[in-house]
Amino acid sequence: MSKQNEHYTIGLLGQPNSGKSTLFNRLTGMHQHVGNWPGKTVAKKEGTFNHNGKTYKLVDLPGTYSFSPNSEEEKITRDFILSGQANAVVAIVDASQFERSLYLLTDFLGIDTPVTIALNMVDVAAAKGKQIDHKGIETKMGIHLSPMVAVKGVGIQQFLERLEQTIKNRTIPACEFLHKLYKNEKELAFTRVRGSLTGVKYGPCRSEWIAEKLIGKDPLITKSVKEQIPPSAWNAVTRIIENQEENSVKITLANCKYEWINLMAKGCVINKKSLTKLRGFEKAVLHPVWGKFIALGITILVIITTIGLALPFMLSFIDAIPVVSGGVTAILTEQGAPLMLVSFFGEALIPATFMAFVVIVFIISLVFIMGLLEEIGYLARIAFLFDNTMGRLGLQGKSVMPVIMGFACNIVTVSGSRIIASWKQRTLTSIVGIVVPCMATWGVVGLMSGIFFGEYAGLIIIALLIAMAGHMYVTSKIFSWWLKIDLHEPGLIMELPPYHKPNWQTIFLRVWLRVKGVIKKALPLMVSVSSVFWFLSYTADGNPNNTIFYQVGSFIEPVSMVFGMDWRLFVAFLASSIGKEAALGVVAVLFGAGAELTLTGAMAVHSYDTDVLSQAIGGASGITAPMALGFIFAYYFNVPCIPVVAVLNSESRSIKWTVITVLYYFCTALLIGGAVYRLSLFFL
Amino acid sequence: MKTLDLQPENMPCTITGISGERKAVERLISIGLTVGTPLHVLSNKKQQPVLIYARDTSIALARKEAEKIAVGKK
Repeated sequence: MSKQNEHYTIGLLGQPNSGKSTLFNRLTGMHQHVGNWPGKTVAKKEGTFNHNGKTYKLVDLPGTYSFSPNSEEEKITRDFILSGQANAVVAIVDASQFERSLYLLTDFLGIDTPVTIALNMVDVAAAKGKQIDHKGIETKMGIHLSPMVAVKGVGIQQFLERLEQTIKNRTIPACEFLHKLYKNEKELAFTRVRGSLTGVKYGPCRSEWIAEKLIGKDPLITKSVKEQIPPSAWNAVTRIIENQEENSVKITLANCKYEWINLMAKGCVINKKSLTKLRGFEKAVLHPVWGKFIALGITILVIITTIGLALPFMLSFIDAIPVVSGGVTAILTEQGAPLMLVSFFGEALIPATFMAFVVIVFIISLVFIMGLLEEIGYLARIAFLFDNTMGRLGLQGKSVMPVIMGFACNIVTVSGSRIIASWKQRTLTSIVGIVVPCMATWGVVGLMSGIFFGEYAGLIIIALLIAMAGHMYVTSKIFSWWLKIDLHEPGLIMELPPYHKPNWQTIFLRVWLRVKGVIKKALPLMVSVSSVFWFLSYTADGNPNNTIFYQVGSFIEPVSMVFGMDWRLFVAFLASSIGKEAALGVVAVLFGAGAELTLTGAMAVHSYDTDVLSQAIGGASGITAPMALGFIFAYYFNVPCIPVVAVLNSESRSIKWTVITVLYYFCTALLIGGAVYRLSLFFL
Repeated sequence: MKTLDLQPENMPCTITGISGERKAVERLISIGLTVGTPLHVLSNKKQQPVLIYARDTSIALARKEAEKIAVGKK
């Protein structure tokens, strides 16, 4: 085997906020991609880099505090390490929180996998007055330790040298100290438990490691050991273990680990400063009242900056639509292309593709701004401030931002939910956040309420807001149950990392990866759904009565009238699933005004002339007040628009949940609209 | 015996006991909180999680979790 073809797989392990992403990005740069861990919803990040003629595949293991199999992330990390596919594991340790960071490493003692430590943020440690004797610790632990400042690229070369050494020499951490500590604790009965484990195999783990897990009542290990030893031996073990008090034993095990950490740190780590009080800025940010105002202010700032950054690009794409569309349709018509094809290009394909790019540009801007906030560390403060409020909706504190931003645009909600770590919580946030009506919805609803109900429009708006709150609550209950979110999950137990300067490389890479994902998944969906609606609304002569929509709509009109919608309102309702402005254009066309617009043209509308449309709708015949009211409610609660659905699909990576969400909102909107219609028949 | 949710701000104390469900206990332990850990309460206001400083780290704890941590003087 020639040296040039040597490939190694390395697992990158570390607690949250240890600088793991920074190191990963620094090593792999653009040579990384995101997928899924097989059968799980957790994202799998892998990348490659070369050093000394060897190729390394770096697997970014989810950030966890320990190896207990409580969360999907922890299970994935443990499975990966125990599978033996890694030639070595790099454990990132935060030098400024040295003692606590080492805890994750203690779960390694007894696993025969080579490990090396990347001691990151030594600059922060120094500023805090923490001095660490690297050589001393290396000697005690028996493995290499590389001080570095990943964010600045300091110490990376030496780290890679040591990584190579670790793989070559199969350097494993010394575990005798820790196991001796276990043996000294009578409560654990460590020696006896370990004694009954002859012949037990569990990956690359020693019997001491297995014994520790057994005593700690790890369900997977317990099951495996039970299957491997004779019943008599198993009974002996269970007799010991069942006599131990679970929490007490776990605390004792943990204390042994921290004792081990103390042993390692003794003489090698010197602390000078310590935080005892909340200082000015942080105090304001976390204040129960002012902190929330600050958070609201920052949320609004995020929306403004996101739009501000993206707007010039978004407008260029929007302005280009009529130009390109006009140009292409002219060429096609000249070439004698069939009318239907010309319409497809001019009214479906081109507008949809360009609008998709408008959305993409918007998302780039959003991911950048939110990424900045996350990097600085502010989002953890939001999680703290809103933990109680959001908890009532079954959501986490961080969810407040995507949900509030939904008042501006639901795409922001779904895209912004990325800041939430767990897939279930993220998806729940997106789904619940979709209830919040966006700016476009408010605009149209305001217009329609004004036209049909004059001075009562205000009352309707209030009613809508109350309905929104109720809908959010019910939706969160339904989907918390449906997504199988464990209501007995522990409450907030979260680290608040110190603020730090953002790492631009990390932010840019994050944006780049997201854009790749959205282009791959969301863009095709947006274009194809638009095309389907185009097809349903197409007619050669521009007469709406010749469209498929009409055929279907008038056929099911008896059914749709149950909900208070004649075929025209029903088609408009369907159109509102594409986009909020589209519905308005459709209403105008279907109710006889706006002669220049065909139905397909109306659906491609992205801005509208309020005067023209007001006249059109106001003059629309056949809409009674109850129908209008029912329609307003149904419209308000319907699926927001295609981009939201498309981004939900690319974020959740689950077609199943995207379809469920679409159907849920579509059906509940119909039901709510229908209920409002029926009720208002009594008094309008 | 006092629990962490009742501990006043800016006074050092030590954890004397942890109770509760398996997942919560394991999370607390792995984030650095076990019996004997010294800590400071940075912020303890009603309707908000408790904010403490332990093992060089600021940690936010939901009140329902703080209620299960017993603290005392060392």
